[in-house]
Amino acid sequence: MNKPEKNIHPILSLVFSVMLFATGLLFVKKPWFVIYLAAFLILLLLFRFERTMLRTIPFVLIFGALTAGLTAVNGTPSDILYAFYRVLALALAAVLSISIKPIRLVRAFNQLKVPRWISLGLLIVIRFMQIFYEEIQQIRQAIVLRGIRFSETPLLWARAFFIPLIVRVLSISEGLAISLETRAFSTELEGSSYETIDFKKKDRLFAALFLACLLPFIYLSLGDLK
Amino acid sequence: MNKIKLEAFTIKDIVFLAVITAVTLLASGPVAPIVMTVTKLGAQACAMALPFGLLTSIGLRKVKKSGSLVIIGIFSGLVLLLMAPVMFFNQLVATLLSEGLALGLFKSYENRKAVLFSAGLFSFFTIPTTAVVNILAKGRTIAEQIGNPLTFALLVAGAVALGFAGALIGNRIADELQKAGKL
Repeated sequence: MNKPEKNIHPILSLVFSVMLFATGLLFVKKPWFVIYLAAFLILLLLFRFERTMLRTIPFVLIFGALTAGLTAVNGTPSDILYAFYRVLALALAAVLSISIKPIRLVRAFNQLKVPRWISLGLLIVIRFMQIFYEEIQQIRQAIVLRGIRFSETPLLWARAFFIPLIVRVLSISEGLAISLETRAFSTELEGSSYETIDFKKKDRLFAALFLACLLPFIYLSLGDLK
Repeated sequence: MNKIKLEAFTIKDIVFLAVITAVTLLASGPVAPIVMTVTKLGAQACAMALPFGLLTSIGLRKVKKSGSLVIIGIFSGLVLLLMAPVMFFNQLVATLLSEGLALGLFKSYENRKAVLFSAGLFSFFTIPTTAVVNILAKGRTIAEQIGNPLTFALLVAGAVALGFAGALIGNRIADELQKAGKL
């Protein structure tokens, strides 16, 4: 039996993530930016995004410190603060998009009649980034074992890194393409979906609360413009 | 006169272009902090030029069909959309301009210069889109984004030079792989 889905509808998550990203960057210099952040943090906590939020904390700390540090070179204290706020805005938007399961996003795309080659490509890119990260680690270990150092022989290092990497890319993509073809996967034919992704009551509630949180800040921002 | 040929993409092509996009995004990972923090126009393009030029040129040597670079742009843009939405438009517009120029000049990727131009200028063409996005989203004027004109000129020249250097290295790697019968 399928477990009840905890996450928000993938398309909704994607759209709201884009909205949070855009508004976050626009509101960074507003005096009420901290309230804006707090409102959405509470909303995300209410909808059980705490695990994803915990996963973004290292990103916020590392990139926040790096961004603030780089801005500190020739920026004022307020510039440093805004730089850190930008990272917070990015992390807030990322919580929604990171929570999207690639397969659910692809199924939702298929339901929206997005061309199959786009959804297939997106799934491959997301899935294979992890696989190739491991491949890259193995190639780097092999380079170290062979005693090749980038600082001493950069050209040899590049050759020892890129040639095996591209050979792996070719063999993996070849195998994957054959595997897809033998399963009658085609870019021209319309496929069937194992699971339909519907808008549930939880999605509608999230959408209503999200807009209820966002609209007052947009109103405040427009008021500032006048 | 030769015309630009439009051919259908097979599953094999789509899979290879998607896989090469995954590797390109991973290879440009180490420069991501620079891309995210530096606000000077052209700095991001300069930082991304080498990995993008190198890997996309290998992709174009394998899938020599018009539209291959745009497909790489769509895939990388869709993934970046999950992290930084503006990057989707950045990637899409840059690939359209770069591929449009290369195919306009050389008609087909059978001509190696087309691969060199298309992959080499990819990063350079992200500069105008970044400028427009910064104006619309952050309200920063062109003068603010450029800062010192000399630094800007150096960054633009760097993006072009590194892009072409990456594409040249990619072509060399593709030649070796072709000799070995792998490509």
